[in-house]
Amino acid sequence: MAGPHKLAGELGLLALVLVVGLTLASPTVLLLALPIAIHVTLGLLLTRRFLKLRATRHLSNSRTHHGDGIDVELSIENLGQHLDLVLVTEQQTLAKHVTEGTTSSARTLCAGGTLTLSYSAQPPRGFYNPAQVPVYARDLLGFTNWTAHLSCPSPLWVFPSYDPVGRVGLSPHRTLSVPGTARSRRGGEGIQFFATRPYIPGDSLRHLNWKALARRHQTVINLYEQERAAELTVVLDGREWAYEPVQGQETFEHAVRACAALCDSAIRDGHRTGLLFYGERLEWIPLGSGKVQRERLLQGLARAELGFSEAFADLGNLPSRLFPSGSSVIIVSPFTTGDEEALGMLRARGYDVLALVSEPAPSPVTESTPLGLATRLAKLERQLMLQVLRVAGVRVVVWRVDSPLSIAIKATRWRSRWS
Amino acid sequence: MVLSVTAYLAAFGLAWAPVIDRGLPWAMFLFTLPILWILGTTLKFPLALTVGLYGVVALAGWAAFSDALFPALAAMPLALLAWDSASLTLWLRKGCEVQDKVGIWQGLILRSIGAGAAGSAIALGFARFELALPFWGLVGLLVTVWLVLAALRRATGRTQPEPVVNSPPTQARSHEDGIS
Repeated sequence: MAGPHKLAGELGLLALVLVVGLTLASPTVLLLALPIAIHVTLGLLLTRRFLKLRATRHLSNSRTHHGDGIDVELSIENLGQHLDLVLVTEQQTLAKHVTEGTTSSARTLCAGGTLTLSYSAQPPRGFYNPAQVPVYARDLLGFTNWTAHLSCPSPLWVFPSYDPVGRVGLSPHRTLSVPGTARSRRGGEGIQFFATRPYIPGDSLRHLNWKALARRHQTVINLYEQERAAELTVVLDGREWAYEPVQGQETFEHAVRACAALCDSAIRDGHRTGLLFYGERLEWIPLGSGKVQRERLLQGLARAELGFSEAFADLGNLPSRLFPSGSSVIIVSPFTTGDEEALGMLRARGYDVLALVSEPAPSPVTESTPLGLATRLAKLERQLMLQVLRVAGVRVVVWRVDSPLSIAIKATRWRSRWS
Repeated sequence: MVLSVTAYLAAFGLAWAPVIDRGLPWAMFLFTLPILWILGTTLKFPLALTVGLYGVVALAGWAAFSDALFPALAAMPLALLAWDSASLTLWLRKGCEVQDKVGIWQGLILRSIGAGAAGSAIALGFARFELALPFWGLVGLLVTVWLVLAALRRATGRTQPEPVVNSPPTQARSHEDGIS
């Protein structure tokens, strides 16, 4: 009730008093119109005609991790005339995650004065871009009312939080020519024993197999497996229906964190790493290496959300042509019946496939109840599916999301040694 | 809200007191007006406030018509103060922190009461004079007043500002582990 509505209300009242006074031919009633008329006139004369404001928002950090807080300072500076009342409200995208401070404030703003909002927020994973600040101003009597959206873009990335995991055991068919940590299936300099061959003049005597020389009187050289950088694609499953209805969102958040940890570990080990988000839409971040690539991957993960698409209802439409041939593919998903075929196809095409099965913490269900029986059947069906995957040559790592990921990743290193 | 309700109750009391002994059959029904006002302020319902203001002014008009001009004119600034303060209460959002609250409310009271009281004082001054104004002269005067107000409204309406000012690009103060 401010601005044109209030003015219309008072002018209507004024007209009514005048009409009634004239109709009754009563000067005393007509005199009642005077306070209203002067109130309106004074109110209109005291209104400010121009509004000149500038908004500035300072974030303590433009990129942060889930769970870390940020400090925000939003300032509205009056570059014009004195304003009776200015009200600023921070956008809901950030305001709903406030932990301390205020996100809405009103005050009189003198010429050159500043209205500042300071607050701390703890937003969850995602990308925030509160581009505008809604500002409302009015005069004290409320005859004029301004609403403005001041431009103030402040992009904020909230990446998933993750604990560092150790080296991921990769065993792709093809590796890059640069050193790394993936097994290259080639003899040369390295740590792990690979094979032996007869000594050729020029070979280093450090690698001479002294036991073979002693037993057979032949000079044999030990070869070690070269460790090279590999190409790795991390696939995050974002199909809503693949996750449990009750704990689905929570499991998905764990899956996102696992992907972030895997990407970070792979980038640190020098692998060329890419990300494919498979859910409501396909989001592909091409392979690359270095800190910039890690930033891109984390940004992709920050935007990931559960969703449903008819086209990507099952993993059969996984765009395998995006993955370099003979490279490693890690798929992070709870997996459902029917997914084993798609993974088997990938394996058959020569990819080194690792299925990281994210499982929610088990809920207590009494086995004697029908629900308990159904749970058992579902569990058996799932175990059968995982067995099919193993037989197809897919490395399966079951990770219960309430346990540390590093333990599950350690198992991949041990298994890749024998694969 | 307290100021608005208090001012309204005072205005209502002043406007209602002269007509209390008129034996109006619907006098008790008038008590719905303060209730309506309280509900309108509490529930932030502008229509109830508008009806409340029109009601109390109608009551003041009745009092003025019944030769009780002084209480009726005294009720007018209070009614306008109640109206202005209710408008401000509704405008301030829930959870909004108001800085220099006292100063703002003092300014509002001064401006609202000042304008209303000035009008009432002038009206009271006019009541002491006897002017022989022909009917059409009175109509002409009122039309002139109306036209002045309409022109004022038009002038202020045209100058509704375009307040967006270019903001400088926002800078982050630090990068925790930014890319290099």
